[in-house]
Amino acid sequence: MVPMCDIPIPIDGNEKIVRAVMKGSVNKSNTAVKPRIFRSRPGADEVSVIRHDYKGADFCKDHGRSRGADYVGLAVLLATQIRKVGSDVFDSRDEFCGHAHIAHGIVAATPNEPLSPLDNLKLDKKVEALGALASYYPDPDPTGEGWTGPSL
Amino acid sequence: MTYTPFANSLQPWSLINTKAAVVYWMAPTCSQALLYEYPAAMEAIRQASFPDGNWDGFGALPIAAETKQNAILAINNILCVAPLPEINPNPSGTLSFQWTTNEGTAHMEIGRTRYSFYVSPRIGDPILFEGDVNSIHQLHGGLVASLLFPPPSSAGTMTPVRYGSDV
Repeated sequence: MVPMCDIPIPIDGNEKIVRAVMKGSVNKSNTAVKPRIFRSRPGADEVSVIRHDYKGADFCKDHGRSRGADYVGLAVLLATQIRKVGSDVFDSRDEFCGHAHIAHGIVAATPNEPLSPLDNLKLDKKVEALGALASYYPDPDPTGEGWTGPSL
Repeated sequence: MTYTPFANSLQPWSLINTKAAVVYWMAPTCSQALLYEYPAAMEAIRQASFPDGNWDGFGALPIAAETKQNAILAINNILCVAPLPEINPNPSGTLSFQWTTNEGTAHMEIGRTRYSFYVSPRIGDPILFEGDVNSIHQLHGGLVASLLFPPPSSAGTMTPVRYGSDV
């Protein structure tokens, strides 16, 4: 039986969208994320994010800690910011309730090989813009339980 | 004989690792490069070349040994003429060199067998290249240097000349 997910499917422009951030994905001064966190894995056009307004910061952190890499903090965007740069964000509850995907309209088709230069140019414009717009919240206690940083 | 404009036969520098010290040697063809940037570039490539997958927590591919080697060969050519780029891995298992200045942006993405490259100047159309990784040449670095790091325009020097008869 599929568990209930009683949150609306449409994502409002004012919803906070959270991406878990791993070690090596933050600038040297630890104040901003590197744009590459908004690049998709190969063969897909989907960047995994969480609908914070319905799941909360603790859930976002737990999800980040469960990913098998060195979790260090959370990056937050508004849905409207994602859409303004020409990308989309949509509910993907088949992964879990509260999960969403950012899509850029560009797929890295071949593993271990580069995008075409034109696709890279288009994708860079989007992910650089998202990287600049995202608010980065370093986790004061990345290995501990629950979010203890400022409210997102 | 076939003319191959971007033949990658140039090996402008070598890392010589002796028991006493690590020595960086640079060929005369690369004499204008910023020598001190080579060790930093090698370290950045080493750090970015994750040998295991899922380094981003979201299913990123590992950086293949061939890709790392391609990046080292590429940076050999590029650093002869262009400054050190920001070097990052991508979830698709490639490595990226990126430059950003007030004059524009450039990005070279290097894979296991192929590369792609663009320079997007602030004014004018972007310049796009792609091909076999063995065809990465100083030309790419030259485009970055000339379009994104132009030399400062020197103000014309005015030297008043006074003839003895005017004094």
